[in-house]
Amino acid sequence: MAGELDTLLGVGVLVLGIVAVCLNALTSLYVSRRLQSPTQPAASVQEAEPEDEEEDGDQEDADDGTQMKEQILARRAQLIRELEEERGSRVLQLIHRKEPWSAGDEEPEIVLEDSEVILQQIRETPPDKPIDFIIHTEGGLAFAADLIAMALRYHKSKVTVMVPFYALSDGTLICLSADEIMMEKTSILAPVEPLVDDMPANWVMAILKRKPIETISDRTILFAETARMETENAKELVKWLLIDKMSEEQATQVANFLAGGYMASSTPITLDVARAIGLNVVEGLPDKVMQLFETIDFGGGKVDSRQY
Amino acid sequence: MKENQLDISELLLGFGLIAVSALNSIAVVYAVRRQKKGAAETKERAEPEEETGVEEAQPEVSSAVKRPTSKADILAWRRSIIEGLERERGTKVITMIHKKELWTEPGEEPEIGIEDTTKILMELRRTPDKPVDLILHTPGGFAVAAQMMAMAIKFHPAKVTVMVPFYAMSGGSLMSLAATEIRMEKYSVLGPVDPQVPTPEGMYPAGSLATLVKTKPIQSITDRMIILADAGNLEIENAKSFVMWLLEGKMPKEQAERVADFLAKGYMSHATPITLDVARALGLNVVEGIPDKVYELFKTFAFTGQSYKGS
Repeated sequence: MAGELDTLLGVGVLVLGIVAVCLNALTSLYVSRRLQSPTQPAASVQEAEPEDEEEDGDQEDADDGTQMKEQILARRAQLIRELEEERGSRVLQLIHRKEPWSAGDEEPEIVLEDSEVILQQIRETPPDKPIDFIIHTEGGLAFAADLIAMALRYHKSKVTVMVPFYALSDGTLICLSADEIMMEKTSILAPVEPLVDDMPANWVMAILKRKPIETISDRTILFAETARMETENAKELVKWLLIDKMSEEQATQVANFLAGGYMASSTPITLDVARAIGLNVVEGLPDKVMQLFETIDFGGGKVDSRQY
Repeated sequence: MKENQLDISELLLGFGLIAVSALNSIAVVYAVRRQKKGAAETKERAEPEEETGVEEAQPEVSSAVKRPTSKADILAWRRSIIEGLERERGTKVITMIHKKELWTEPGEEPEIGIEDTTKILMELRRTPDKPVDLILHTPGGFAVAAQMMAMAIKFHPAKVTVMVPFYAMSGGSLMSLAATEIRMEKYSVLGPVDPQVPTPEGMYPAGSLATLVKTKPIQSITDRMIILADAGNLEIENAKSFVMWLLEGKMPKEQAERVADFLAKGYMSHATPITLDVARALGLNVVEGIPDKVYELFKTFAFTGQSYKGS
């Protein structure tokens, strides 16, 4: 009798256990499903919004614009998500271009606000998560680019910079901070020589040697002084960005090559050149990155627009 | 006997399974909680956490729905974050953040002005016995104002921690030197504090003017530049002795003098980043790490992509 009771108890507990596990497995499955797709409703809400507006019917032009913008942005967000999944990384972007909905006539360039947003995003990326940084810019404020480059270099995991078309001047500086640069055969970097009052720093300094000093204007001498300090900073920063990727001597040479004023600031530094000076360059970009640019209407807009 | 053993093993197995399922449910509850917390934060910040960030920059439509747009709402949002930070750290939190706001006039670049002194001095005066966290984010600005605030920081009886989440250049660096402790991240920067002189040719470092007078024959320099260069030398002396005074009691005198020389004499460009490592090498009391709430605070500011007033 007691034995049977024991058996019953044993079997009962066993069955209870199995049922509990099954139930739990089902709930966790359900919960994990729900947790995984919080982004989907957001996207659909965005797509739905312009339609609501369209019903107003009053400002059809504006609504068309909004709808197009919403669609393009949703498409880009989707691409970025897919890219993140595909590469198991956090994808950040610094893309300066004119958008169909931009207005005004200012050229977009790197500004302090860019670095603040990107520094935040880098901070929010877990240290063990690799970063893919898509960059497309003509340069801008050197100080802002310095901050981004430093933050990328301090990131603990691998940082890959992707240059689908161009990253000039201070954009190149940001590329130097990466562990790996992904480029196409056709994409270019550029020298990182500082500009002083829109003049190349090294040529401002050179004038001191070419002209008797009493005939040079006070202003030019002051510029030369600024140029000297800026060039020194640029060289030191490049060297520091490269120091753990190559020998100190080579890093110094690269810094000299890129910031020493030996080439015009518009000189394209192609994949082959970048590789030749010792940068870790990989040819070819993921299709998704190129698709990201298919959504851009080049020259379609008039101004400044930023996406992070 | 045999059967009994079987029972016990069944019993154990059963309990084992129950234990496993209990663990599982704890894990699930934890996951749900995290998600809920995440969702709440997302709501608060008005932007999805795991997002690629593309949504963040949509100014008109989606942000307008989620982000507070009126000045009062933004300030209230900011206030609640600051109060959270105060609770977390047990300090009085003061901010001097020079960023464009939604209500900033077009063309206006926020920087240190004489009005800032009123706020900072009053706030410090109000909390004589409480440690203060001063969040600094500024490109610099009016030197006298920065010096006044630096003095107030130095004279504050309780501990003053300056937090530099991104950058505090020029006058902001001067204020940082006055603090008991500077908190930075690896990527945040201070800058040199050498005086800048407004000349007819534009703003130039006093050190560069001195070089001009030294390198060019004096008869070929304009009168005005010579006068400004001489006045600039006095400014450098001022800045140097001020930095030395700020560092008094924090390091030996000779070291303070070297640091003051390095930062105030204009050897380097005014935009040279002085990182955490450099600041530490100079002998400043720098601690790495800035609370997340400080960065949360920055999300309440209009980033680019948001339309500023008039633009």
